[in-house]
Amino acid sequence: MRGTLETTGKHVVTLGWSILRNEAADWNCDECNTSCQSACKTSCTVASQSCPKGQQERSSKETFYRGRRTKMALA
Amino acid sequence: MAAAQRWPWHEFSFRGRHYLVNGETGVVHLLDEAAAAAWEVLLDRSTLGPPDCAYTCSIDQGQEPGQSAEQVPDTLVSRFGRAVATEAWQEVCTLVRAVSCSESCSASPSKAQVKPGASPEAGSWAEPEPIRIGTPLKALCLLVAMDCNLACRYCFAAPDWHARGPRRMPLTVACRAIDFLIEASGASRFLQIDFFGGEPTLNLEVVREATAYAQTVARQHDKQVNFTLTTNALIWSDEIADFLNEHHFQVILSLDGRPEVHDRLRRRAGDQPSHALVLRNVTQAVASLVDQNYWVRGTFTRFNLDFASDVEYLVKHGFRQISFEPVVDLPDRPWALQEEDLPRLLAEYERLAELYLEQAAKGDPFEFFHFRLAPPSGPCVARRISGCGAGYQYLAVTPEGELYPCHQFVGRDAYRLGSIFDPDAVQRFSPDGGCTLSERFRRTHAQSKPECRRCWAKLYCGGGCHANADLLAGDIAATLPLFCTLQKKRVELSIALRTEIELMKP
Repeated sequence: MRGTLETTGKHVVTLGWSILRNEAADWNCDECNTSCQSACKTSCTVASQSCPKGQQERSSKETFYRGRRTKMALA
Repeated sequence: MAAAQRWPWHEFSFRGRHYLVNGETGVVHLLDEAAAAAWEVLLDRSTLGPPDCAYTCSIDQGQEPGQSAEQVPDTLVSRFGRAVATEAWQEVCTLVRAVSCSESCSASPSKAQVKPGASPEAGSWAEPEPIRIGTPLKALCLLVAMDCNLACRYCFAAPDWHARGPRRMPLTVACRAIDFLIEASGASRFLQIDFFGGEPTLNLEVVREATAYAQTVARQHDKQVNFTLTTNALIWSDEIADFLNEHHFQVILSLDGRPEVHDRLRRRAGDQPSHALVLRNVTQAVASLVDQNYWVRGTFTRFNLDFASDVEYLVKHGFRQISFEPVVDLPDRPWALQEEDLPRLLAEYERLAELYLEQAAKGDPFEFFHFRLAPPSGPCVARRISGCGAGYQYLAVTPEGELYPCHQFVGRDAYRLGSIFDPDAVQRFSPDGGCTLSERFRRTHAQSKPECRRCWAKLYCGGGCHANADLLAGDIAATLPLFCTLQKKRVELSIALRTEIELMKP
């Protein structure tokens, strides 16, 4: 294990930093920035937005299996 | 590993590393050579589309003809040896099962092992119900000056003031807009105001007064306002810097890179070049901004498909937070990007990625806005799905107080959302206010657009820009192949660069 890389096997490494937070039901959370208020004025993106709430809450122990919860939240 | 996509999987390579992205979850896996080869075998053998539990679980039970968990494909064994091939094969099969195997699958003998915490619904997810984003208004773009001291040929705001004449926002309108934001934001505590134009420094007094007013009113309502100012930097002074520092502004400074590139399209009145003055002022601005909360932002066009050289120029001039965006304009404009430019543009993003790594390796890194991936505390899935928030979370206000979904929509009559002076304005923009057009924006996002729903990059992109979709395809729900391709390339490189940077750490 090195930095924020999270090893799950000898041949397949799951990159821990890309894992979605699983409190997806919080659709009305208002703490993060809107995209267009930053440098992208014509090609907005969301992946670079940080989450002020999650900076304290997120567990580095999440594994890729948690991705399944995202599916539930979207369903 | 060949680039390929079988929903929900997307694979790509960079600098010899193999990446596998799960589009349903946004999760990224890094595969070594043996695992990458195992994945290719799995892709070849999975006849029902993407590798799924129907295939991998049948392997587990020895149901797949000629295969079992122990029977690793010969091609892998001959290439990597039995021990490595077996490990890689089983890890890749486990990965697929972990994502696609459901409780209803009776084939898997190892469900409990691969699915901690999963519920019965998890595996039965198919087509999602339409999602409506219910967040209230929390950001305004105040077009304090629909006027400019430059005449950039690709400017998306110019048609409006050419049609209606240059105008500046009176303080009364700015203050009413701020009241509107405070009232319509409901329980939201963190609000944002972007001073934009045209060129906002042409109406600096209103920017100053409106900032002070916003802070006073926000305090009274227990809210916090963050400010952004986007400027062409033609006007700059120590007084401006002091003001921006005092109120902790994020500052976006427009500069297109090399002199010949910048001056070709960013002309002053009388068709004079602007680069020399802008470079001097941007340099001064960056040196004087205490928080270093700035982006030097350029636009690349068909005239500089070698835009990595412009980013390199900015890096050489000492700027360390850089954003470079593709121009968006009608296809008949000579500077507009065309489909045929794509191979060159994709290669240029790779060249930029190498420059990024080169600087990082030298211990002198720079930030490139579209190569940034959120840290571990990145956006939740709700945020990722909802995209930029235009039309309900974010609105633009003209000097007269008219409302539009964002700064790019200004002047497009079909998208006029009324005025901040309408008696029912606050009510209409509340989450259940019933504004028909706003409602369309709430329901148009990465999970509702047919083309996005099964795109591996949707949780990184957010569904793309509504204004661009309307301009180029006449529909905010449309997707734009050229811009989607560029976005996907940037996402791939963001993932790869993040990995490379992590691996550089001791």
